[in-house]
Parts: sequence; C-alpha cells; structure tokens
Amino acid sequence: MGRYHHFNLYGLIPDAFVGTLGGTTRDIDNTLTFPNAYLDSPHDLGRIVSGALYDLVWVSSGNTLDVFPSESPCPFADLNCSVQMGSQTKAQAYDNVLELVLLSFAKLEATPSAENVTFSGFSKLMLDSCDALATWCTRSSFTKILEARGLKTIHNWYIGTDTAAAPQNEHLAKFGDDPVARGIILPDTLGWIPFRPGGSSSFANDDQYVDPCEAIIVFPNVTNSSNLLGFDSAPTNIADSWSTTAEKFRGTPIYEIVYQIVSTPLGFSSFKHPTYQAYVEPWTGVAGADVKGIPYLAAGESIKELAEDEESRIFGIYNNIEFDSPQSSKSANSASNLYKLRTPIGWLFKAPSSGGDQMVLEFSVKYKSFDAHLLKEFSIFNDTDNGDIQTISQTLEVDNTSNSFCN
Amino acid sequence: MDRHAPFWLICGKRLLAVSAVLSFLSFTSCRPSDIASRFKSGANKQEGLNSSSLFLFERSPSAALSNQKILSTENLDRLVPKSKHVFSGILDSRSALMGSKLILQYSHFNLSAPTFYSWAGQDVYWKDNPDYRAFFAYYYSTKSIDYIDGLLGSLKTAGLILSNQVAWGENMMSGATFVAPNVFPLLLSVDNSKLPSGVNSFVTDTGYCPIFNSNFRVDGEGSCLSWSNVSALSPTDREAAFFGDNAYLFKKISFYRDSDRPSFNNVDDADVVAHEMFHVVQDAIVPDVLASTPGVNLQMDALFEGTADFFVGGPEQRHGYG
Repeated sequence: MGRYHHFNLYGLIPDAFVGTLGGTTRDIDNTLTFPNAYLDSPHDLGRIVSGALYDLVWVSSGNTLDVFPSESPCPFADLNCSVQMGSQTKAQAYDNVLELVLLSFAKLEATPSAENVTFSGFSKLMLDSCDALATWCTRSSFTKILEARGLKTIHNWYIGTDTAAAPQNEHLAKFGDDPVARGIILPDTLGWIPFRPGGSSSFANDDQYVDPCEAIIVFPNVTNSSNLLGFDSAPTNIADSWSTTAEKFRGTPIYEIVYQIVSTPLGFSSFKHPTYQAYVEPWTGVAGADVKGIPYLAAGESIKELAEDEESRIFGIYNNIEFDSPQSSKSANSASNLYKLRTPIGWLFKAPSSGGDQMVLEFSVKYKSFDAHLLKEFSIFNDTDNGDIQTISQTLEVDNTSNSFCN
Repeated sequence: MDRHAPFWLICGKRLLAVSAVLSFLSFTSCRPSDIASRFKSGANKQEGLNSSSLFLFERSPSAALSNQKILSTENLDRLVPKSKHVFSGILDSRSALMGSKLILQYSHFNLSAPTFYSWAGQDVYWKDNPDYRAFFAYYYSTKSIDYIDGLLGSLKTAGLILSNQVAWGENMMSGATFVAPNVFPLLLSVDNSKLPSGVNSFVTDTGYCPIFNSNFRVDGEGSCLSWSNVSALSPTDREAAFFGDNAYLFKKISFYRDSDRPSFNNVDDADVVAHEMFHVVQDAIVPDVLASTPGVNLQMDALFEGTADFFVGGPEQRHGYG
C-alpha cells in the first residue's frame, strides 16, 4: 500500500487511521484488529499488538473483556467470548505481561525462524511464554485475545520475496493478465480440462485442444500470483479449526465465483447439471472430517493446476449434495453448514459441435482474505480501478482440426 | 578640600559623595526578604543535593494539563507545574551528568553535559534549555532501565531466561563478565537538531541497522520514533538515544493512553523516552532479528513498535512518573 493510499485511508477507515490529522492517537487501549486496521506503517500497525497486550493486562487485573462484542453467536468453539483471567493490581498485571513479552523476545532470538517473525509465529511464542508463566496466565484465554485481534491466525502474511517493493500491497490486489505482476491473473481464455469419469472416457481425450462435442469441465481461468501467502498453505481439517488447539489455519485470498453464462452456441444452461458440477473441494482432512471448508485459491495456485490434480482439494464430482449458494461466513458455524458452502467453480460441458465455435463464460472473482478459523472475511486490499471484485469474460474456442466426439 | 574652589562647588561634591554612599548602601543592603530568599535558595540546593532531586515536568506537559493539543510553542514553563524528581545512579554530581548506564551529552558537537550540582533542588526551566532535556532524558531513561532490570531479574530468578540470552542485564545485575557486547553505557544525545555537515536527516539512511551502532531518536511527528543507521555519528559499541528539540514547529507525538488517562503529546514526553528505551531493550534481547527485519518485515516491525508502545504503561503503572 503506497503512501498515497495510506494517507487516503482516512476516508476509508477513519477509526483506524493514524496520521497527521488532528486528534490521532497511538493508544494501547484500542479495539483495532488485524487485518481490518491494517496500515502500512509499523507504528500504526503496532497499535494492534499493544492493544492485544493491554487486553491481557485488562483481563488479568479483575476485568472482563468481550473479545467479539459485535459477534453473535460467539465464533469460538465454546461459544464464550467473555475473557477473564485474574484479579491482580494493574501494576502487577503490567509487570507480568511485560515479562511475558521479554520472555517471548528471548524465545524469538533463540528460534528466529521465518514463521516466528510473523504475528502468528510470535503469538505462538507468547502463548508458550504464557504457559511458562502459568501462575497468572491462561493459555486458552490469551489465545482468544490473540485470535480476536487477528494476530494469531495470520501466518505467513507478507513474508514473500518482494517485500522490499514499494508500494507493497497495491499489486497484490491487481487483476489482469500480466503473468509477471503480482495479483490475480485473469487471461482471456477460459480454463478447461477433459472430463473422464473413472479416469477414462470415450468422450474426451488428453490432447491440448477442445474438440467438437468433447466432454470437458470448464472453469474460470484464474491464477493467484500474489505473494500474499495466506494464513497457512497447509490447512488442517476444519474440525480442528474450531478448537483453540488448532495450530494451522487457512485464510487466504479466496475467490468466489458469481457465475453467469452469457452466451453459448449450445445453450449452456442445459449442461448445468448438479450431478456434473465440479465443486471446490477445500481439502481432505482426517478420517471423518473430510470435505469441509470454504473454497479458496492460495497464493501461487491456479484453478487449472488444482483441477488437473484429482487429489487436489478443488476437483470433485458429487451426487446428491445439497447445495446452497455461498453463505456468509458467520452462518457457517457448524460442520454441516460448512459442507454446504462448497461453491461450484466449474461445469461439465459438451463442447460445441463446430470448429471455431466459442464458449464464453462471464464470472466475477472476489478477492478476499479469509480466516478459516474465525470464519471471517477480510477485505484488505482494493484494486485501484476495480475494487476487490472483478468481472470478466473468458472464451474457449473449439478446435477445428482435430478429433470430433460428435458421432 | 580645595581651598580655592567656590563654596557651591564644594557643597555640590559633598552632596554627590553622600548620594553615592547612600546609593551604594541601598544596593548592598541585606533586606530581610532578600536574606530569606537567598537562604531558601541555598536550603533548596542543599536539600536537592541531599535527596538528589530537582524539579521537572511530570511525565509530559500535555499529560499534566490533560490537553492533547498543547504545543511546544506555548509557554509551558508558566502553564505546567513541575514536580520533584529524585535521581539515582549519578556518579558525580559535580561532573557532567553520567550514570553507570547512561552518558549524557548535549549534542554530537557539544559533548558536555550539565552537572547535577548546578541544578540541584532547582526548578529547571524548560524553554530553550538543553539542561532540561538532559535531566529529563536521564531521569526517565533510568526509570525505564531500572524497571526492565527488575523484570529481567525476575525471569532469570525463575530460570526462564538464561544469562547468555540477554546481554542487557549481565553486568548490571550480577557484575559477572559476559561475552555478548553490552548496550551500556548508553549515550544520550539530547539535541539531535545539530547534525554534522552533510547529514540532513537521520531517517534518510534507514535500512540495515548494526546492532550496537544504531541510534534511537525522538523528535517531531512523522520521522519520530525511528532508528537509523548513522554509524558515522555513533560512538562505537554504544547505543545512542537522541531526544530532539525544536526541529519541528508542531511537535505531536500522541500515543499511550491508559484507559483512565488522557492521551497526550509532546516531545518532552516521558512516554516517548520509555518507548525508545524499549527499543534498546529489544536490541539487547533480540539483536539478530532487530537487525534483520527493519523495513523488510512489517509484521515484525509492528511487533517491535507495539511492544514498545505497551512498555510505556509499565513504568507508569509501577513507578509513577513523578
């Protein structure tokens, strides 16, 4: 986020803004959270850290804190957002929390891994310190504070190879067709893979062309080339993410397809059969906890790559699945609801019968960050021109020189 | 007497002589009020020396007045009450201000510092007075250091931090020889507006920050609270803290509000001093990370800044600022 954007943030998020305007303050008694209160300034961003630590002072000195005052129901597994830790004097509480910070820094110097120099990694160090200072600190309560502040769930956010670039974030929200630029790459051509039930099909082949009448699965051709690595690239199953014991979380730049077929020589609507929809398969977890989650496209991934990999989370064909349109994350408070959240991203088609015919798919991509643990969406970035939603048409042309499956 | 002088002249000279004597007496007479004033001043100084105290603003002018908008351009000496500050650790009250952990200097061009003796028991005026900043910086830096010493000592006593993990406290708490370089004595240069020629701003040279060759500074908004690599300016193997003065017309450093206190701002702000001192702590405890992340890793930078912000509340809560 460049300086220009930074100083215009006042108009966007006045509550979080700190700058040269009158009345601004760096206040440790704040309710700022990450990434909603993100600002491209360590001093400003640091207020979230100081706020979390002050929360800890607050709850350990005889006070109760509702860490999600505007959330109902409370998003934690125990549905309890009220945190209270002890009843020390405030001075003693400060001493304790500062000792925790110092101890965490000592741990950091001992293990300065790439993970530990992140909000999430340092939060884990602080939780370890909390365990070591268990006479006053309760891990589960401190965890809630860190999660509510958005510090614990962020993993490798912003740890990329081009972090020295400035402005650093604008390109993360870019939509375009430049494979070099960081951002969401949306070429003009539609994505597709052959449809081969059971691994083979007489209706499709493996070549690189879409043949007349070939059975193909069509999907938006989207690549996330940002260096926003998300909260974690190796999510665990959703069941764990409901508990405070989860160590890894998934909240990433996700896409959400709002699909509309605008034109087709064959009338695409007749091919939009629930049985043959390709669903986003978020991930496969442990036994009994599979197929749950919310679709996302992690940094560096393309839908095509995932679609071609039958072991990937994205590819799956299901029968008798109750499908609801994408719901708000807040309603996804149970595994069963999460199950319904899968979003259709591709459709089985019989390709047009004539070479040179075109298939056109219009869709929109919503670029968000998502914290799968808290089931909260964050809109960190705004593309300068398009905001965080981009509508695009992609086209697929039937090859006129190769095989035909029309007979 | 001049026998030939006219009578009027002789009388005139006598009158002038009498007048001069009266005038001299009037200037040199010890009136009761003057005697009391001088006695009181002497007593104050003696009491100040006995108790190692003098008078400064408490915490900050804006905190004292509960006024965030107060500016350093106002007549703060008249507006803001001062309170007694008891100093500790001064090595020699008649020498330039120095403690075992802190060395004060006016600037890089003026390596001297005020003596405590010269201001003992006095109300140290603020306006354009580098001595005020020297005492203010010494007092609140020492406060922060002592506080951190106690916290680190508790962690070491509990066995949670090993001696070789924290270079900061080794020689202070145990007197033991330590391998890691120590941040002390810390050099505090209280006027960073006087820069060597060719150096326009400390913040122009941000980037890699040698661990023991870095500077912390405090001055006006925008560029405040940054550390920079100013190796040419910094004494080898010493931390240097800079506390700015009138480089900016509007000095607005506004942060650190406790829940029951107003936020405030001012460059002469104990919270600013404490914040910067915590960066020194970080430099002692996490030198490698601190040296490698500034400007590269926003999250880590924010962690450093946020914890430094939070630290300010500690000495305030525990020890007060008076």
